Amino acid sequence: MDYDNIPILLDKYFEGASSLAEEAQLKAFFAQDDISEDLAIYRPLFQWQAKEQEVQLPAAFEANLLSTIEQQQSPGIFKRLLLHPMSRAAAVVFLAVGMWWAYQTDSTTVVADSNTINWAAYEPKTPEEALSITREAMIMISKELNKGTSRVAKEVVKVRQLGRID
Amino acid sequence: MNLQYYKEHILPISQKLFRFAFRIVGDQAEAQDITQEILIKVWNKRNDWDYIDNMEAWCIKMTRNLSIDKLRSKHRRTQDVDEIFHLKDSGASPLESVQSNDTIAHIRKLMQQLPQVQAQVMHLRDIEEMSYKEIMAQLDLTMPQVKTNLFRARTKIKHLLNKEGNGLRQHSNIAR
Repeated sequence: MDYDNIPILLDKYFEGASSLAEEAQLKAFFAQDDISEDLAIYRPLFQWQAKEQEVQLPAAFEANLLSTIEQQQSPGIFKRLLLHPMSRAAAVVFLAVGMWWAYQTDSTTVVADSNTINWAAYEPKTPEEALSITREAMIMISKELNKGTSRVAKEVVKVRQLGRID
Repeated sequence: MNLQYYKEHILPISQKLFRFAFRIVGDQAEAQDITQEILIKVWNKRNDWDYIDNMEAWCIKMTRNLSIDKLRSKHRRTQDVDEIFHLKDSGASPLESVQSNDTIAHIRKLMQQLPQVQAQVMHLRDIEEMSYKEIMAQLDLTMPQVKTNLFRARTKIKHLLNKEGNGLRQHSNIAR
């Protein structure tokens, strides 16, 4: 290898104008033992570069990292059960049984409750009482209808304010 | 498969990340912890990998940020900024200093005198042997910024080495 141009390369290096190939040439030159005194002061710099390139993670690092990741990745028992292919079928069966049970319980309760009610106690005894009950019911319906109408009117005003209806 | 991609494309840059973290924090054990933390973070972000243009640059940036954070918290703990950023006068003569076997540690100390960006650019160029374009991407710098920082870093190191070399010669002449 031609080392005559080392001072020139060194100048280029310190000016930040050297290429990677030229820098490799400098590293090779300063790896030698026999270097002139005026250039020897720069040897530690290139020795340092070579040594820093040798700095490595411990051999077990990668294996430890992968085992940590695999531990993180492995799902718990509940998640594993959820991911099982049969879990969907089991969920459908569970839901169907649940719904059937709920329906059975509810219909039995309603029938049982309605059998215990004394409906005769709620029957109006006189025509006046029947009229009064009917009137109260009609007034209640009328109030609810009025509430609905006024609510709609308010909403229409708001929408008009937004400029959506002219 | 994610794990396969991780093993083939991300794990191979772990050494680079480790050296880069080591360059900033100056402690191998801490640099190892930082590297592990970054690689786990990268794994946890596996659903976003498709949106990352340059995975290596992204990892380097995260390593730099985390290393700087660790360094800052270390400063807060020790309150001894000089110890980390500046070369303390050990009282050794230039001759003793240069002749010591620990030239590597000595250059490391000189590197610690450089501003962070300059040291990072010099590390990526001289240790990782990256092109200027790669350094631009890794550190979010423009081409002139990369060149200027590299020039300033190398000039400063040259100046320090020359200063020590002159001291050494003077010391040798006095000894004669």
